[in-house]
Amino acid sequence: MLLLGIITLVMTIPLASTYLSTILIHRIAFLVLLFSGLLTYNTLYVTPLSSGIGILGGLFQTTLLSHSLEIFILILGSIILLITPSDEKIKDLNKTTTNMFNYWDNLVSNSVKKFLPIVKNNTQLIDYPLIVLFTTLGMISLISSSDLIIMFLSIETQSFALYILATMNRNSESAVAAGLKYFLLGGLSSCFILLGSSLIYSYTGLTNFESLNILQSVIGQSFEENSYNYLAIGTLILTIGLLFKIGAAPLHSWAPDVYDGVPTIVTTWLTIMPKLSILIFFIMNNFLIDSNLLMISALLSLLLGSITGLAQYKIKRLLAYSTISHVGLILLALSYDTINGLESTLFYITQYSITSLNIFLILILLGNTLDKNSITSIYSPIQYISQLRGKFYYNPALSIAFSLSLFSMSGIPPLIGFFGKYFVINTALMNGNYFLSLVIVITSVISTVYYLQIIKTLFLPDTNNNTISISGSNNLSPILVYIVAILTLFIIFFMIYPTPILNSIHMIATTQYYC
Amino acid sequence: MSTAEQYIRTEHPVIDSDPHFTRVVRYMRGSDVAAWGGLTVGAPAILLALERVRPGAGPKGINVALGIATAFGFMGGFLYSYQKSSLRFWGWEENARELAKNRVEMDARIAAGLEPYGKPTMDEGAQGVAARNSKYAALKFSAIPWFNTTNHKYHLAENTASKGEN
Repeated sequence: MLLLGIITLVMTIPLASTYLSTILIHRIAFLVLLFSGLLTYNTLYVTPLSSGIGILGGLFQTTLLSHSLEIFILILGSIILLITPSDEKIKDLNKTTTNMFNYWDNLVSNSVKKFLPIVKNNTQLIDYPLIVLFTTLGMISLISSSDLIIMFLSIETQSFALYILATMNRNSESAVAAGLKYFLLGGLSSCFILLGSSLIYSYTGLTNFESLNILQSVIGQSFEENSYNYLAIGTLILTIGLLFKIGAAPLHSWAPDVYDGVPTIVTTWLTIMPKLSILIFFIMNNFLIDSNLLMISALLSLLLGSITGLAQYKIKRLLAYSTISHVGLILLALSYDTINGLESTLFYITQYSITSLNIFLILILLGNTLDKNSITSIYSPIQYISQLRGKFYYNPALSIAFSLSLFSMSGIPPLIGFFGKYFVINTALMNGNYFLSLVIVITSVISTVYYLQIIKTLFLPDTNNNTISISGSNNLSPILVYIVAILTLFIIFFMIYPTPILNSIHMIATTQYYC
Repeated sequence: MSTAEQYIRTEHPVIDSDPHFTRVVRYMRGSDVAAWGGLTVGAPAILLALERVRPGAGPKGINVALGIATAFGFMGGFLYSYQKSSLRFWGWEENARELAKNRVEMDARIAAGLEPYGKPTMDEGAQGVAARNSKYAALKFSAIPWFNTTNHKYHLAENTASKGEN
């Protein structure tokens, strides 16, 4: 469906871009993701999928886990696609003409000129939904890939689309710089992945994961033998490349710059989706991953993400460091090859993705309440934490939802984030790792400081008065407002009826671990 | 791993683990066709509902968009129905009606001196490759639509075709 969607939109956008607004293309892409999710859900059968099924010549392996998380990815992706550029004041673009349009203005006849406002509107982000479909195709191919070649192709399909997404706002110097940095460093990490894959292949002659898994379990204790050391080196380099992609410390330096430089709508995608697919890939193919390296990276991510975040005054940079810290927690849970580790990883990924999505949606909605004369970028209206000052007095509901999401991120009970951290700490304790449990507790307290700093700013009186009147906040997208309401209620009331999610995660983890 | 040889636990008898495209379409139930129609109509309806909640297009724009949404609904609806029919062939869903229909069809083909699953046009190696590529491919329809359009001998229909080749 995704491939059909991409082919159709590639043909449709040039033909019908005169009539189709960016919002409509967003909605059509949303439909494609929705239908893809429906098609995956249609084949979600526990018994047959529990042992995994190889498809398309064994290049892909579908399991209950890959199928369930594919649905989750498609739902999250479709929600993010509902953030239409109008919600970021894209209409103001009409006032900013590029050199290209000045040139066209001189060239085109009056009969054509009547279409120009629409064309101008569309130029910047009209390709955004199409690129999102490309990256989603890469993501859902990656999570069920069962071969080194398909793994690499999927990662690149996902990454190339992300580089384009990052540089989509070509009028912004910071976005272009961030995109270039992302491209160069992403290219470097791809080299690591390719080198790791090549080493694995050159010393085993295998590319299929199932065969590699069997080989690794057979050689098990005889790892000292020379030729198999190269297999270990290959997996180590492959893991480094993948950790680079998810922005885990100490390979995280690109993440804050990129997340801060790109439009907020793109940051929302970058902070949640690519990580999700690579982390699921880690879960699906844990034999390919060096668990000691994961633990070291987790420790560093927790420390760097929490401590460095304290010094940030830009909201998206702060959230980037927060993301690094959360990736540390996920990697820590993932490094334990136990069913508890798997369950806590799955739960943390789920709750983190939902909370993070809610935070970015609210950030975009709060950006719409700013006076357009007070903002420096129409794509990222809120750049500094100080811009959130006094927002509670203009939009109490959104501010409270924002605060609750941040409380959840910091792990305050009884919100969903608390349970996520509790499960990870519990897993670490059950595996006798008291030191890392202590590190999680301390870093959670440290990160709470910067979350509280944002919440404090929200509730302080606005002295600059750069917010438009309450009546002006009527231009908030009702669709996004409903989504924020649902996500916030989920974050708050998860503890009242947690059984469906916990049972589903337990079932998925059990089938993945034992079958 | 050879996907032509994998055995999967199913709740119902397997009719054909890699049915030909035409067979899947022929065996669609009325409910599948209704779902296909429903999704074809549903896609533009969702678009209209979103437009009602948050208008974002002019009248001409919405007409074009509705056309595209209907096309996607048609494609998505077909893939959905194809999956439903395939699930019955694989024995993942209740398939008593299809089992009986298949038995009659196979018996008739064998009585007429025809190959039960159609005459293969490729050599054995190519048949294996085709089967490995298309077997259970409907599970990945969310990404790539891939159908079996060849006649091959890998069907794993151990208890259905009375004298058919398994």
